[in-house]
Amino acid sequence: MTPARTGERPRDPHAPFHRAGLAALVLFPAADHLLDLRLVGDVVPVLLFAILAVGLNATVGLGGLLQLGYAAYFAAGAYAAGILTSVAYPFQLPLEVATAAAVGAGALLGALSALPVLRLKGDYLAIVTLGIGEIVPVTLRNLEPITKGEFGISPVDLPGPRAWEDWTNTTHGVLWYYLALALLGLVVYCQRRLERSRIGRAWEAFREDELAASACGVDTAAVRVQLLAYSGAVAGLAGAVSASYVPAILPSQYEFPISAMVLSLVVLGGLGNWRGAVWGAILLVSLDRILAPSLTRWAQSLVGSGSYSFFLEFSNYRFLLFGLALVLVMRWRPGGLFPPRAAQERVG
Amino acid sequence: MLELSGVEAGYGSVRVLKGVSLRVGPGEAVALIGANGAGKTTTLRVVHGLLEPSAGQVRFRGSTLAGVPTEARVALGMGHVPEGRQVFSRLTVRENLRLGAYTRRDAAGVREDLERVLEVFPRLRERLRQKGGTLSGGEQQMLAMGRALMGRPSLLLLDEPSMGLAPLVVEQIFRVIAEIHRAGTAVLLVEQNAYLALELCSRAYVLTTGSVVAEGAARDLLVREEIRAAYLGG
Repeated sequence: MTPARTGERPRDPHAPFHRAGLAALVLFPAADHLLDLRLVGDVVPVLLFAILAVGLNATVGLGGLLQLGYAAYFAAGAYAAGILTSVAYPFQLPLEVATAAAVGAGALLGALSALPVLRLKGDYLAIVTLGIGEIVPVTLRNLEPITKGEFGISPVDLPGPRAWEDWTNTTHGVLWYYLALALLGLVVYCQRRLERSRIGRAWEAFREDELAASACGVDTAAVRVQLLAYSGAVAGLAGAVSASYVPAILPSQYEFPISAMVLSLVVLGGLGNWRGAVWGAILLVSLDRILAPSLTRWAQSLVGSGSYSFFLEFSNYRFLLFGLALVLVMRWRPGGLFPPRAAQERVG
Repeated sequence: MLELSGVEAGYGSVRVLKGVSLRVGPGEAVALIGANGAGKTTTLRVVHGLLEPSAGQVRFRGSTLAGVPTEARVALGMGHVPEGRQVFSRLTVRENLRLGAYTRRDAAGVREDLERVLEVFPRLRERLRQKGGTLSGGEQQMLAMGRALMGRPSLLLLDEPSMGLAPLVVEQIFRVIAEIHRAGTAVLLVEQNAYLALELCSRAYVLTTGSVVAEGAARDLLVREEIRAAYLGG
């Protein structure tokens, strides 16, 4: 070890696996095409969930704030994109502009929701975030003149110039896949820069010990605003992209189950490390969105569509299985499925 | 440099400080001694802005600190080594130290000070890559002090630096405090071990149930009968 590197965190022994995973992600559409799996389109929401998991990991993992209403920020981004692009509204801006606005909307909602919790932490803060997660969908349902209530907003604009639209529809999957992957890469890049910056250090100090952090001169109220605004911005980005992918917005897509799901991805993958968040999200959402439906089809084709077929709908077991996985992970792998730098724990 | 006049403070309806006045001059080392529950830690909390006084005034470098939040006091030149050390246990030693310089923007000066802190505490240099939580008690105390020094304080607040440490380590820690003081930093030392504190500091205040009952040159307090009886074990 050269002296210049003294004090840096040790190198990650799992790095080769992460590189292999990254290569697999980049090459997946080719494999999908060759094997005729037709799964590329289904993986897009998986990647969007990974973006959400990385964003939430900042608040929960780095900052130690339990955030139970993350879907609210996802909604803020989606509605911002929907309202600014949809033909149902007078603005009809291009999606790219609307996405920037969506990031801003997520950040703004995040900063606003930090205001009531400037001095709260732990359970108290979690309850407030839970409340925000409930207030937002109810507001979206009832603020009909602006949000169209239960009807939702559709269609949301697609990315790229309008002339591309037919083309994007036919090769739909692959373009969307790489767009989502690029955005995930961008979010991960920002997160890594942040983690190593002065701000990221302050977030971790705040998580470790709020009193000692303020004794170092860290403004702990500002840290709360930064954490919620940053993770809100990331959720806003994911919200805009997912609204355009679907391409419709309904209030029911932004309720507590989404918040709970993203939070379990973060905890299962490994708190406080973006790799855990990414791989945890990819693994678990793939199981939920791709494997479970195919299992369902297979099982139902075996027994036919009798009155019991409801029980063979594997997606219905989603939260049962996620809950079980959470319990098992906390018991056997408290650092998450993909814990950070195991070597770091070594006592020298 | 630091001046408390008639400070009253407490938690909820419990009044802990009943009019504490004390003064620390520039570059001076002052001890605050007293039994458990006398209000020593509470006094430091008030000085550092973790607790607002209900009456009285705290002045630092000539201006009042009323309403000035903790983090701003750090930027004004107060370093705080909290009781029980409170290092960031899941961050590395280097990260801990760099957090001490959080309010500073002069990268070159910070590097310089890091070097100086590592010279004062060679043990920390060996442990730079290790996490704070894996250090021994004495090393954590060194880290907490090093972290406070990284803010280049003009006044260092030390809360029970000897707590829970082996006598040999305590001796080492106090040697370093003396060194820091000699280098020109004012020190306000809260300590149960009155003998050690009085040896190190030039002046001292004796606190009993929230009031200052004695003050003076440490030399004089060391020989006063009632102080010896109450705090120095006869």
